[in-house]
Amino acid sequence: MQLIHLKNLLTFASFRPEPADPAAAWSTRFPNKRTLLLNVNRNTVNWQVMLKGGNLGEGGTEEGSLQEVAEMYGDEWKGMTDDGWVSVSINNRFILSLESNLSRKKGYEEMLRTNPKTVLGSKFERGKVYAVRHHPETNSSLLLACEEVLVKETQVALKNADLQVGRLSCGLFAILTDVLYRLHDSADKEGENEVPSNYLVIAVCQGSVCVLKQSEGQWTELRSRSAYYEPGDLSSLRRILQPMLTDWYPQYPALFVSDDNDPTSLEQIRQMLPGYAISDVSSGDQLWSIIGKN
Amino acid sequence: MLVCHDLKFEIDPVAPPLSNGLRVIPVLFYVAVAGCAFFTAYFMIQKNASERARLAQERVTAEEKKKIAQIQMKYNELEGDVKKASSMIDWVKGSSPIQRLAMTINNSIVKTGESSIRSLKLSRTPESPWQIKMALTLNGSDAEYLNDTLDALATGPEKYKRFNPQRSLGENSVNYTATLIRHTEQGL
Repeated sequence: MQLIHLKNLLTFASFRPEPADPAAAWSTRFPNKRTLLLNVNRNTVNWQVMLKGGNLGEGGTEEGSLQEVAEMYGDEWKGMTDDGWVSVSINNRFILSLESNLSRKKGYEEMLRTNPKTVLGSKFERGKVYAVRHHPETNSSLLLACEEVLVKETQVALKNADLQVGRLSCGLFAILTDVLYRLHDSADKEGENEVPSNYLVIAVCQGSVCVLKQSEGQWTELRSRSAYYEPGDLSSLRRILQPMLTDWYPQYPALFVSDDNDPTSLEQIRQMLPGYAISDVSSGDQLWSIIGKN
Repeated sequence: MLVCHDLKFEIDPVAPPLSNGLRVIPVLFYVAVAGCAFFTAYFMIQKNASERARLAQERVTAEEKKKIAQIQMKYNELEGDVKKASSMIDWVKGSSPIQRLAMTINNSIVKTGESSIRSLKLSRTPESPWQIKMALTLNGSDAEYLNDTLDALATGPEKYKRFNPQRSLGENSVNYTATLIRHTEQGL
């Protein structure tokens, strides 16, 4: 037994998840430490400090690639954290797709990280890393495929800035799965609100967009684009939405979730889809709350 | 709570957290440390208290020894006095027959009024205390006075027998020595 193990046992740290444990929520890994939340877009990097107790601290935005910004702000970011741990959201170079009949055997999440071919079968592509969200009632699944090179570049850039990557996720996928969790899993547990058999989820995050449609209790269509629109201007979403609404009734619920705390975003969507029952299910600081707590 | 997905490549293996049931191990450790600290402090307090008690007891012991020494000294003095008193008692008890003997001799001389005692020596030895060596010197050259004295000794209450009597006449004196033994003590 090494000395660090003994120290962790006596400080009760061994009973908490390790900082890099992917199976544990961020808030349980760092209950009393400051960490940094990063969002990496194609040409900008946003950051926010997660303070002790789960409150958000100061943040910022800088133009440039992650490598450039990390070289400029590395020391400042390091000083914003207690141990240099970072939760990263990447909103670039990923693909969201709708799949069916993916393996749901026990431990499939770990297998998806270590040996994705056993889970994905013929859908596996070399040079990609994956994450999956299953429909709780059907055999449909949302599959996130991100470029392996981008993940490695991100980890290396942050390591060079003397920061430690505790989690690397896709912000848009995290927002989408959070909405689906609230829609399906929370409703099932409480038994109060039934899951609508037809719904539309419109998720936007830092220029990336994803629209998921469920018809008759099944996910039937998904369209996703990374780095698709300029923040603050959602007009380009019309090209994605219109084809998906040909067989859609306006009274079916449509859920809108956005990360930017911009009240005009919902207005833009409503102007785009007049007469549709659109609900904004965004919470304040949606992206930071998800990657900094869940 | 939904746990967010993670795409990163693991560099170091990640161990799952230990089960909460094992929290008893560090808890027991801290209880043991606290117990050790408590008992160490308790032991030190008791040790200091016993040290103080020992010093106090040593002081008391020293004072008592001093008192014992003083008492012993007084006891020795008293024993000396007792010995002196005992010897005095013994002397008084031992001198009683001598006193009666001396009184008998003196009375026999005083009764005639014609002679007087120049010297009288009565002595005993511890080996034979019933024997009294008498050395008597009377003034005057008349031996009749001596015979009166010897008769008084022989007929007195003690009824002394005389052994090895020797008499001699000096210049206006009569010397007489003899060993006297009481009739009753000798069983005669």
